Amino acid sequence: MEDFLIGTQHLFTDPIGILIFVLALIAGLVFGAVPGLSLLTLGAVLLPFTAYLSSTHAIMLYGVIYVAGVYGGAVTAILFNIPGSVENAPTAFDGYPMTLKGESGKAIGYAVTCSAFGGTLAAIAMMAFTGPVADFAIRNFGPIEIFALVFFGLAVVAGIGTRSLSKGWLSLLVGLLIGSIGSDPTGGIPRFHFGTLYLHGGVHFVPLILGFFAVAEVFVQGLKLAKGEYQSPKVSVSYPSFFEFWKMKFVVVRSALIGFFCGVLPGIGATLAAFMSYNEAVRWSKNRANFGKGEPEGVVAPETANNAATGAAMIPLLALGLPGGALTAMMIGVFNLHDMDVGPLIMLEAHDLVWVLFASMFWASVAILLVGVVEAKGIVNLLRIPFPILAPTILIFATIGAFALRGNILDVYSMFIAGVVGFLMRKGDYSIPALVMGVILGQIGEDTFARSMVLLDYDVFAFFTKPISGILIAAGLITIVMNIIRHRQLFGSYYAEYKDENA
Amino acid sequence: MSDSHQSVFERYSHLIEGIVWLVFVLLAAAYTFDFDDPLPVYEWGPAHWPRVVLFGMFVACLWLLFVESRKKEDSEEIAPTSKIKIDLSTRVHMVLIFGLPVLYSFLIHRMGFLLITPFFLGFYMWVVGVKKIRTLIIMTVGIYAAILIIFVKLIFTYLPPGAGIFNTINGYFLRVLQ
Repeated sequence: MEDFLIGTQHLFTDPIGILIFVLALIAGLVFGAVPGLSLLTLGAVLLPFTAYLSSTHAIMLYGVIYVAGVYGGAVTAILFNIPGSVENAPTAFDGYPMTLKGESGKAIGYAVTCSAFGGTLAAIAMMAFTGPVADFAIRNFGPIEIFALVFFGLAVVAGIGTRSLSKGWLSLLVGLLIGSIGSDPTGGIPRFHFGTLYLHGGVHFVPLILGFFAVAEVFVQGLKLAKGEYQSPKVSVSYPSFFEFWKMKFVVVRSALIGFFCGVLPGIGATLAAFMSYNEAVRWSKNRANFGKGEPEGVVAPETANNAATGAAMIPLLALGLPGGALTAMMIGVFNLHDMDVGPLIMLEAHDLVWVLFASMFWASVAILLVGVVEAKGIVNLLRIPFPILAPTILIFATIGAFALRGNILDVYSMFIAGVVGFLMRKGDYSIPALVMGVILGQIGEDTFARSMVLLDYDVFAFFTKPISGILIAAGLITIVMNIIRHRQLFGSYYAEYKDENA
Repeated sequence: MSDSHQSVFERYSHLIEGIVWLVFVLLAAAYTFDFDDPLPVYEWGPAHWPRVVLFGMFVACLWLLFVESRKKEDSEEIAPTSKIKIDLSTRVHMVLIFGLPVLYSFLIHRMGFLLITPFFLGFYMWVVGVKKIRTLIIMTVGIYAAILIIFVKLIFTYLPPGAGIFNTINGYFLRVLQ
């Protein structure tokens, strides 16, 4: 506690520190929200300038933009179905349908509050448990357990976003197949490249996500406009009540725990956290059928988890020098620019600096709540922009976002192809959440599966010989069976109803 | 498409859907033989994972064809699909809404972002409903200027430069702006 207070004191007794804190907060919110202006762009642009800042200011700057940026991406996901970054993609699954139902204010309110809660809880946990959690995760979570976790996640997601189980599975498996395009993770052998060098590197998921969400949405709304069925989303500034928040308490705590734990796993971080917590929200919810149609729990879960993961990502970074993602890797660069090496000794060698980072991330989460509550009332007015003006603007921002990623025009083509495919899949009642999950988790899944098989001597059943992987695989299999039974029961009751009606 | 053809298509749409998926799965499975050599570090080789995925897709296709199609037939009997007549102008409108972004994505490579974007902005806005010329011009110029300020002046984002003569023009434009 004393360390935290000293960190806070460092932060708020220095006018330049306060200025950097505020600017980083605003920049993180803006860059996180606009596709093409990702957090990584901001991090990369700022990196050389951090050499001119003190080490405390430089590290604090990155901590704050990380926290603010992960929340920022939720705003466009909810209002326009354009996730600012990959970890905000599951927020769009239910956030955007809430907007279409005229509940944009509530959706933003949930996102703001839960992002702040998730971030704050993770910051507290980060301060308390950096050592033991890092130790547990690193010792107990290898490729075998991570694959089991991914398998469990995929098993859950196949049942959401569609009324048809076969279409849910087809969507998920198409996502896994898209994830396997490129080079195989073990030997680097090119697969499904169709003779083009571009596909050797795989299809990047950012253009795909922009296509499946932003471009497909423009097409869907454009089609409605052409048929004369278009209705602009209702603008609502109503914030969720305390009672509505209270109903979410279990979702928030569960998602914060998932987010925190996934955040600790190096190389996976906030993206897996957001998707896994969404899956768990679906699995535990009484309103399971409402997911994908505007269920508030579908906004609460990923937003709590992805912000919880930001704090947790600092644990392997600081304790072991292992970055959880690209932005945390840049933070290693910032440490190096100031002649410091991250790792177990950092807590001793730069004790005060680490506590300034912890304090800045804690206060950034609190500030999101304050800024977000004010912002939520105003930002929903963006929905008043007429569709004819919004549509080409969205397409251009998405084009810039896709191209800026690698400077490759084929990413723009991929995005538009994904847009058309996403449109057709939505029309055919396929599941976009399952497809996106398949692409993202498939790449992690294949890599960890191959490494697991080498470790387990190519015995698939050996997953059950390890307690964590055994439980997760068994839970995944049970979920698949339960999904089939549930869908058959639904079909059975529906068929009986139909026969009664026609008797 | 005549009404009779359309109704046949709708009646068998689930079958056609399932068969299209099956053909896709079989073609993809055939492609896996291009890269199925075992690896020294991983004896199941690079084709193993895609084949497992394709087997899963095959099972899901069969499920779609033989189980879920029954459900669809029933639901159609209970609630026959409403038929909305779409006239020629609506069809043209729909083609433009889909076609223009695809055309833009191809032209952007040839002509460069800076040259083609204002035309796309204006034309697409017109297609989706901004019919007043003054509003169209103001909005096009305003949005284009905002994009240039953010991406070209402030954060120096690399944008598609175009090819040939257009590359030179885009480059000149970019130098003037920066």
